[in-house]
Amino acid sequence: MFKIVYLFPLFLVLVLAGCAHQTTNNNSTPIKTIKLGVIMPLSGDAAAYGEQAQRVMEYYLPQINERYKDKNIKFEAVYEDGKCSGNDAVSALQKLTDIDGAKIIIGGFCSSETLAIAPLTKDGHVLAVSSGSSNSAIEGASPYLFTLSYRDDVVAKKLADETGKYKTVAIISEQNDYNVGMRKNWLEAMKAYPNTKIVADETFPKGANDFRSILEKVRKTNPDAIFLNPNAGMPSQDLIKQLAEIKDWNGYQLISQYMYMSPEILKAAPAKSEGMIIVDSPSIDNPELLAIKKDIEASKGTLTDLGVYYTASTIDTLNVVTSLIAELGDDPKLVRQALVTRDFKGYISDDINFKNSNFTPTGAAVYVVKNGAVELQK
Amino acid sequence: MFFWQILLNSLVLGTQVLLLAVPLYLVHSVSRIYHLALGASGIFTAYALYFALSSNWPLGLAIIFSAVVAIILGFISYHLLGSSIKKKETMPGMLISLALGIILESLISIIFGTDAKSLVSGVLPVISWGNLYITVPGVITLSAGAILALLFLVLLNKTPWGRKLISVAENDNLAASLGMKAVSVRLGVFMLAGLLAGFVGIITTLNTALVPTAGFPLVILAFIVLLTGGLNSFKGVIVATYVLTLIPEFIIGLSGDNWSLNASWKMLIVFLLATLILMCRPNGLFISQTRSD
Repeated sequence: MFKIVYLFPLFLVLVLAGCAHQTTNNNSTPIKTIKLGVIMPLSGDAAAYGEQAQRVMEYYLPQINERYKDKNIKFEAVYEDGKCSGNDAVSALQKLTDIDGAKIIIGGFCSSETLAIAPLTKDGHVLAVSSGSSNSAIEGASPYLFTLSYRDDVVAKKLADETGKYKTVAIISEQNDYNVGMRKNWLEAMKAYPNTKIVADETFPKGANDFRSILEKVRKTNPDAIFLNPNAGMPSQDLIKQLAEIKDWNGYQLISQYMYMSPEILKAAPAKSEGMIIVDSPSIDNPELLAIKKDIEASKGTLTDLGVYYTASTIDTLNVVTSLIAELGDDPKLVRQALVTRDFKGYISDDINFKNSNFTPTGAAVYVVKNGAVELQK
Repeated sequence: MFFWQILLNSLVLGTQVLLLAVPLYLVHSVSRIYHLALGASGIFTAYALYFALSSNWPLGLAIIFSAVVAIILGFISYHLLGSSIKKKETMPGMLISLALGIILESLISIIFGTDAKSLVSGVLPVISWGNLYITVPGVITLSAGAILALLFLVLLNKTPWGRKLISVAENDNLAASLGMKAVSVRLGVFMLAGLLAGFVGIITTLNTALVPTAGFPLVILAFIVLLTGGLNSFKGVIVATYVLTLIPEFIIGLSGDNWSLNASWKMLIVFLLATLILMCRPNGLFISQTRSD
């Protein structure tokens, strides 16, 4: 009896602790908390993208929770750092599913992250929706993997349209999933331009930061245009800075992608980046979205690296995923079924759908650097 | 012109390796330990400079601060490796040093993050002759490399200081009986090595970018040139440095058209060359035989 008296408070504490995570609203109806696993690069070269996407989510998730308050549903984002690396993304996914119990993942953001977690989603115990992965290898990688990003092969085709205007062209690529995929797609798309000769095709290992000998090798081939294909962050900045060091080498057209949309990168070598052609996501001028972006920037910080498209795709991903979970629960199989059969409206498009693809249909646009700023080319 | 530009770029890269091989050689001379933490120690010093500069400290004060950090790292290294040096345990010593390097890299990542930083914003100033060009940090690297290589070549081979280092390394008990303070000599060398590694860390990252792991590839190359050059031959280390950095750069730089090799081949060529040298000259480039222990 003595022991039971002492064990009772312990039992009570355990029961209360077990109930602690289930909060209640004013009407004493239990609120169901659903964990959304989020995998993004929160450190490393691509950290700017992850941190800024996190700002969008932290700004927008409370609004979504307000929306589903009446249904007694609360979404909680659990962030894990994928470091833009396959190994780290896999560890992050395992932690999110095994420890946090998340069944729906938003991410990865980098293609390296998303492609690495693809095999782990195949059995349907977890579903992942990316807002930023564009590598065309995602197509068919897993039935439980989707992305709202534009596609690399669409961008590569547009890049080929631009580089195909010149007689000779060189490409400098970094060896990582994204840039290797982009190089492959671009080389394929360039077959449509037999009059353009690829005079240099240089690659450098991930983590390299001295490109001077590579640039000298490209300079020797005297190309009319150079397609810069490095990773976002410091490689892209170092590459253009070291290109600018060669003062007597001019008269070529620089062509690149999203990594040079960042004002910080352009500022590193303003004279050299002037006139650069950038192929990127379709331009979005939805005033409502632009107002949200402005508000996020005012309250949470800059979104300059993320840009308008990925701000929109992050919000759309949250909207699509949470609306389906609110309706069907966080069962990956049910959510997938809805994703592949329905149409959704969002900021990136009025017709977001995954009926025939792991990608939603999108295009690409051409921009040009003028007076240090990126402008849509008419 | 292309040939000379590739040569100039490669010389800068080679000299960065040589500048790190010098402290690695000095530490090995007095302790028989491969102090692999020197790469991370150099980068830690570069981050100390970055911290001081980004905190708007005056340049002079920032340089003094980073020099003090470098010397303290040398001091810590000596005390961590002290037991291994005393017991002549070279392998545990190398492992302790490697662990220290990893700890330093992790500390940098925790404090400053893993994203790359620049010590100098904007395009680096360059010096041009006709079509040839070199960055100012590149000029400093080449000058410092030439001066230090010559200085240590003379110091180690022609001065009592050099003989003192060798005697401490060979037999510190005998050296002590002759009135030499082995502990002070070793401590001095470790602190000097920390300072030199710090200089390399700063000059290398000034020419490119500051990342926590920047020291590792450099120290691995310095370690390879130390082995291929000969552990007891500073002249061999100098020659091996340029053999192992210039040849891969030239093979990659001059390759083209049907047999173009890209920068990813570099380390493969370095290791192939090192293997070939060690197969033909197992004790180093200029050492035909050594006394067995």
